[in-house]
Amino acid sequence: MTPITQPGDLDALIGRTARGDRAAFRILQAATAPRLFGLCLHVLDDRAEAEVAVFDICLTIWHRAAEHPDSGLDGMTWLTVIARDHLVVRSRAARAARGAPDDLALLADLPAVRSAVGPLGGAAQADAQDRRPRIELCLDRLDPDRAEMLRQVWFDGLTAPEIGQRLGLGPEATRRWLRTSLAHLSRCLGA
Amino acid sequence: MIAIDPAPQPDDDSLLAAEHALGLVTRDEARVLDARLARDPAFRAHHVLWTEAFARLGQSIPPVDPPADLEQRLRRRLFPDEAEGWWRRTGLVPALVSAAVAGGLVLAVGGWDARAPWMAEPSEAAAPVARSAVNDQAGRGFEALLRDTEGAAFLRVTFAVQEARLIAERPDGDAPLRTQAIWLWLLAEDGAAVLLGPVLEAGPVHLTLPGEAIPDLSSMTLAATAAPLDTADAAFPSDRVVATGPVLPEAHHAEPLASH
Repeated sequence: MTPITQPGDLDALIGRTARGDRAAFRILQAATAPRLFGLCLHVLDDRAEAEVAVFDICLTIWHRAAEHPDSGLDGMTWLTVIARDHLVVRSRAARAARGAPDDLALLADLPAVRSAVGPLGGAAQADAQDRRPRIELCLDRLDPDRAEMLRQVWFDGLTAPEIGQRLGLGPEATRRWLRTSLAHLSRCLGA
Repeated sequence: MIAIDPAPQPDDDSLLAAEHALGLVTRDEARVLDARLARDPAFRAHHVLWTEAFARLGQSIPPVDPPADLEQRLRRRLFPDEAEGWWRRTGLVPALVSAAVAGGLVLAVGGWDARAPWMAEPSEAAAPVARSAVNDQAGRGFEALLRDTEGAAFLRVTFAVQEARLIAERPDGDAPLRTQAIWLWLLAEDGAAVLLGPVLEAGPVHLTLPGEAIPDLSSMTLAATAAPLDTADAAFPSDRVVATGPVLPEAHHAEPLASH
């Protein structure tokens, strides 16, 4: 499928939404909800929770659309960040409610689970390679532990103390470990 | 074994911005960095770069159809005053519906000549009458075929009433949409029009079917309008209609739907 949406289209729709244009918001929601819901499902891995989350994210977009111009981000990135921030809050609250130790144990299993699920192999991987975002390609060039930790930071909102607990490191050593990971990534991204 | 590097950091500000963008700093640090973002363009630029880079991770996740009632629930929460006003009244719609139903169902709209680049060429075999089929709610299939002003098949719509959903796709399937967005509208006999949503993809697009419309589907017409994505309006743009197709009970048709 080939989307026709141009980056500027979303920016304009968010701008109209910020001015209270209900039709623009309806269109914005129709155009982006599938992508936001896909992200919710990926992070929460629970359809009922994801349905609640995408509803709340859409409400947030309506209420905070006026903040978009100051973010310096293109429309889709801003929407993704709004969704990610919301999902991180939910994920962290869920971990806190369930109890950190068990949950951290589950998180420790994530690399193995994700490894079992993917990545793509053979020709499919070659076909998909040039369509993957640069951040994915750069993460693949990192040590797998570092890459997986950074993925969990973005998707699951893993905090520095949680990472330290996973690695058995104190706060300063954890920060050095994270900064080294980010420095490697920075060189690849050219950030 | 976890390797701990001696930390030769290339650009502390860039890494600090990354930590902040990822939520890896403490609340006190975040407050300080928030203030710095507001007054330090270079630091802000680092922050934007990292935010955009990591957001691509989220954008690479495949889209999934959201709950069918998402828009309805949002509307009820955000715009309770629309509870009875969602169907937008416009004096132009009754004429359109009448023309579609009584005038051979191929609607010629004055002034419209900007065919979308992927619009199907008219076929000699095109039926002179646009055919749509919609059944009752007893579990049979529902579908509609919208034809353009020259009778060519333009958009195929399948209804899933029990899921309050409809699926729209172009009959030719693979030509990409380019500069125009196609908007799908449901028009009622009494002149009400409701925007179902944009058809943004070349392949099947899922849209929510308003629950209020389901009981009266058999008396309604679907209309497709073309306009840039950022200019769509709440009011039905009758001067931008590119195709229509009435919604009729399947029993009214003696032959199956065809693209041409």
